[in-house]
Order: sequence, then C-alpha cells, then structure tokens
Amino acid sequence: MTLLLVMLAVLSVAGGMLLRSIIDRSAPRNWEDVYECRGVSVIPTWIAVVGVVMAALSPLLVLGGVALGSYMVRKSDRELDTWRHREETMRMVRWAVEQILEGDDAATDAGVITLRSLMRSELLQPEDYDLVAALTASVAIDRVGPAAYADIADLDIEIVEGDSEHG
Amino acid sequence: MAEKKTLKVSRQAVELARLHVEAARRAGRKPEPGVARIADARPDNGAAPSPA
Repeated sequence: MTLLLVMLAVLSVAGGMLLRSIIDRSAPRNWEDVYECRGVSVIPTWIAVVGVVMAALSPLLVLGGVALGSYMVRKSDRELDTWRHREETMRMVRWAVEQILEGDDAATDAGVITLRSLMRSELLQPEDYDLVAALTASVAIDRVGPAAYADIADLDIEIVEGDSEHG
Repeated sequence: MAEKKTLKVSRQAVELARLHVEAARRAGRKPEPGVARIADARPDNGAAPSPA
C-alpha cells in the first residue's frame, strides 16, 4: 500500500509539472508571430511523449497496486489462520499431556490417542515431535519403574504386554 | 538352556513407548533403546504385537 501511495504521489507531482509546463508554453508573448505562422505545436514533443506514457501507465500502476494490496491481505489472512490452528493444536497437546500425567488408564489412553492423531494429521509441527518423544519416554519409564527399566537393558529379559506390577 | 526371564509391563506403558518411537522417528532421531524394547513387547497371550 505504501508503494502504491508513493507511486500515486509521484504521478500527481509529475502531472502537475506537466500541466504547469503546458500552461507556461501555451501562451507566449509572441504567440501569433512565432508559432502560429509556422504551424507547429506549442507542446514540446518530449512533454507529449511523457504525457502519453504516463496516461498509459497510470491504470497499470493502479492495477498493480490493487493486486499487491490484495496479495498482502490474503497473505496476512493465511498467517492468522495458521496461528489460530497452532493455538488450537497446542491446547489439545496440553490437554493430552495432562491426561497422560493423570495416571488413570483411560485418561492415558485418551492422551496417547490424541497425541498420535495430532501427529498423523500433520497438525503438529516437526519441532513438536521432540516434545512428544521426550514426554512419552519419560512417562513410559516412570510407569515401568526405574528398577524394571534398568532390567530391560538385559537382552535375556523378554518383555510382555499385560497387566502386571510394572507400569 | 536357562529359561528367559519375563518382564510384564502395562498396556498403557507399551502404548506410550510406541508413541515415543513414532515421535522420535518423525523427529529424525533414534528412539531410546529401552523404550523401543518396551514398544516391541509381545502380548501376554503370545500373539504378535497389536499395530499402533
């Protein structure tokens, strides 16, 4: 928009200068003697060329300004929309984390399903994956218990999923 | 041959471990080895691990 305003201001000034030049040259003191008898135009050629060029370019500049303004508005809308999505996603992440940390089995399931769905729907951004990975590792180790987790390093131990004293 | 020791972990812990593995892979990092082993836990009834 600033660029458009500057362009319009430049066009206005140039138009004013052109008009002033035309007025100054249109009525010289020896008008009838010098110009009319020779049958030449009172407007110098370069001014006429500038006038034609400016007249031709003005609509294009206005069109360009409008297109630029429209593009900037759409870009701003997209950024706002992305930010709203991000806010909502982070609210869901916080809820899921709270559910997981609550310790209840059903709440943990709900939190895990929510986080997994967010990851698979690409709503989470790559930098959020580290957060999810660190959080789930920490809670999983806490659920298993540090002593049992230390035993897991032993390759002779077979890990079985089921209701037990670990986790 | 000595019998393999068994460590039972809860389904929630296994689900958390599987989520950790998936998130770590998406982040381009290697998952924690211990947690990755938990994620590969076999079900108690002897069937293959359920898909995440």
